[in-house]
Amino acid sequence: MKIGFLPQSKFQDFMDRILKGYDCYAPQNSLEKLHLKNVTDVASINLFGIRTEEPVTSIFFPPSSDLSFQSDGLTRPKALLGIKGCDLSAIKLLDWVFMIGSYVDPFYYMRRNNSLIISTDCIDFSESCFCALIGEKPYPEGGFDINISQINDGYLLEAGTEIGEELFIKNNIFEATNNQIEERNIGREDLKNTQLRNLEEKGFGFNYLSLDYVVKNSSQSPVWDNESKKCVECGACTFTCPTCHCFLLSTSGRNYFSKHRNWDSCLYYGFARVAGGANPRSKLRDRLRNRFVKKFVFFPEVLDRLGCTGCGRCIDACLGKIDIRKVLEEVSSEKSVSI
Amino acid sequence: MKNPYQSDEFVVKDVISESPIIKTYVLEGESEFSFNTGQFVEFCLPGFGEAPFTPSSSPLVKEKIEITIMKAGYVTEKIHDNVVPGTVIGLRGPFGLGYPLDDFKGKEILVVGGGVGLAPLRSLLYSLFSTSSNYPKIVLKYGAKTPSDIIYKNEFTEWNKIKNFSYEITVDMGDENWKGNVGVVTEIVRGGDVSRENSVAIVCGPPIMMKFATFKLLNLGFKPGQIYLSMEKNMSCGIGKCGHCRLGNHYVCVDGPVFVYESIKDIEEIWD
Repeated sequence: MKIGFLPQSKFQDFMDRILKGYDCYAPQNSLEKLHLKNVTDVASINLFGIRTEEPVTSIFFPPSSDLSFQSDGLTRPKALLGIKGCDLSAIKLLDWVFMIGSYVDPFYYMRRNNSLIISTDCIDFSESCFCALIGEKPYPEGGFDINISQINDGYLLEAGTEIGEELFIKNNIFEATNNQIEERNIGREDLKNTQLRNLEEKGFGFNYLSLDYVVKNSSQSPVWDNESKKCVECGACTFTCPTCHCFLLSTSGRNYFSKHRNWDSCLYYGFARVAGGANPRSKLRDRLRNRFVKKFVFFPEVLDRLGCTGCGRCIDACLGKIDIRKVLEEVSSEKSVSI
Repeated sequence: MKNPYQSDEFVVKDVISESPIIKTYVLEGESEFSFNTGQFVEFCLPGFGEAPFTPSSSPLVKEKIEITIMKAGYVTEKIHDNVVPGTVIGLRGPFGLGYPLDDFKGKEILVVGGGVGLAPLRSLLYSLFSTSSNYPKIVLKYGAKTPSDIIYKNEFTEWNKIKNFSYEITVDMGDENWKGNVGVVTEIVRGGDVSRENSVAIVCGPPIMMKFATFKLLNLGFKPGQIYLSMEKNMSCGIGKCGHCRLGNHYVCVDGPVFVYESIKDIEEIWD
């Protein structure tokens, strides 16, 4: 069984049982926003709001951490609850960055390994959400152990892994009916279309499939000059981004030769600078563009996917009100004019 | 699982002054250190930071490693000021890919170096010399700012004894004792130095020198596939995670630092 039904009345009990022994992280309402918090009481969480303010990937790749095997909580099993499709997509990308390829980052791996991921469908979107425009969906399609969708009278649970399926069996979850699945699917499609309509009304309708081409060929575009005038180089876009993974090593660990790492931002002047002062991106417009190149050229070329999940956090975070959708819209329309 | 961010301890055995701003540090670890020529290491000075360097010693010598460092930025200045014989420093690595020596076999080798860029090239030369019969000709063209900026001064005479090796040096600015070439290194790179067809050119130096040396070589008829460049980027983690050294679709720390020009020629900002 892949998709089960859980009546409303049994939901709380089910959650309590499966989360025993896990260090739980979940969205919690705080000051009218949803924040990703380490929670002990599952009743206090909000599983069906929009994505949290904090990128979920920060659980596996914390903003600041000692790169020592003695670090606290490194291997404690974690359960991530209420994770949205955009963030699952981001976890997938960071898994590639940190765990696949010639080197495995042991610290990401140890935090990530044994984690239980319980995702939820979006039932609404924020003014900054644009997943549907970037080829993602407002509901998870993979990367979860269990995904939860709200339907009439209860919840549809979808198992994405063997772990999820085992939890179904242990907890006597009944198979969902075709009608229930149909109800879920219609709701999902509706939300996606509503989001797209909303974005269209805002003037956003670029084609995400051509972003790699348009961004790659945009080095001379005035868009970067204009947009960078609003950038104050605070790095907020990179620190709220669930796919940004750049970090700075320092030597102030507990052990004399161990390292500490902090998130770094490619918007900072010194990011690519080398000793002697050479700096390939000394101009802010080039650093701003570089952020887009990494997400819309680098990842499509090396991983065959975009490095943006449409979560819109960078739009909310930007002090200069730079809107990634507007930037993409402008470079896209510029290119289509010149073709 | 090994911690790729943890440095191993090395003791500084000797510090050799090569020029007013360049020193070579002779390091010895608890166990042997192996690397391929052209690979780099992260040199860690606790409390001050880490910086990437390509060893200047022979990869055939495993019990000690030499790293030649120019005072050029924050970490290198702290190294120059604080590291003396007996200092314990940290090393991580080796990282990246070195020179593809197997591809060089049977070919004439033109080595073009600028300033402290001769450091990794010295390691390369030692490797080439150790199997010099594999290479019909090894030619070094080296440029330094002034005569006192020429590094490894005492070694040139020794190298000159190697049958198929020849070298030429130039300085940007001479002094009263200087009788040699004056001018930038591209001026002493000439068409007849090595065979145009059966050769490779290896360039290492500051970005501006690499740029003009590459253009000169192309003008002389070298193909982009024959030119090997050492790309200087801000390699920090060494394992393709931290993002600082991205060059197009490459992380220099993993795919470099040595690149055949053919593979990077279309990337924006390679010379910056």
